[in-house]
Amino acid sequence: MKIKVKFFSIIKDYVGTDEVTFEFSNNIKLSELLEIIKSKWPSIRKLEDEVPIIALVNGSICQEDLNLKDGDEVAIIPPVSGG
Amino acid sequence: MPEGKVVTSDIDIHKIIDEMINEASKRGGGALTIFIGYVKGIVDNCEVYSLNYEVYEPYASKKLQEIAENACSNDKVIDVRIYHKVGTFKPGDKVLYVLISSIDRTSGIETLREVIEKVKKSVPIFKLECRSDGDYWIISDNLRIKRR
Repeated sequence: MKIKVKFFSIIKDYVGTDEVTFEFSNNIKLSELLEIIKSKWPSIRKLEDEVPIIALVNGSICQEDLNLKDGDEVAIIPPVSGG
Repeated sequence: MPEGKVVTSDIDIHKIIDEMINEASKRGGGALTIFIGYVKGIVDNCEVYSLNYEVYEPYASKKLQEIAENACSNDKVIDVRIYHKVGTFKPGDKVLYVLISSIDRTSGIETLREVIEKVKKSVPIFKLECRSDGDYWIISDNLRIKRR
């Protein structure tokens, strides 16, 4: 299954891209995807000391034990700053 | 009708004001409360050159619409409009409009404050501030982190 991951704001700077697609042969939980992302880009772990990292699945905050589905879009964002 | 959305060009605020007052006056309205947010020219004693807004669509517009509709569930609130611009802006450029038409001033002012707080804390919109001492990511309300 394919999961698209989008990065925003300061996180996009830390990973050096705004979007990446992961392919998995088995089911995966959100928490497992986040670990993969942090392993691929360890600088995110350092950033987490200063900034909370939030994951949205299809635009909504979800429990980290959520089972992701084929075609889901995950956004990795810092706290928002509209206005 | 309540409306909240991200916009890429300026809005005709006078036309919207007239529309809202005309409609609310037929439904017992007596107050139109307006907030206009614009780009600061000075922050931390430094000159601001520009403010860039990055938006996660379609979820930002969906959230703005949800905030506008929820605010209208108050019996004293007649209509709510929220328009948030996206792009790069200079000091003084208007970037956020919130308009509340209501039965009275108290409900209008209270609802305005609640709506602005929700826009600032729950809509996936992000800011990069470019100023005389460097570029800063703005995180939540007040945290600024210098761009690497």
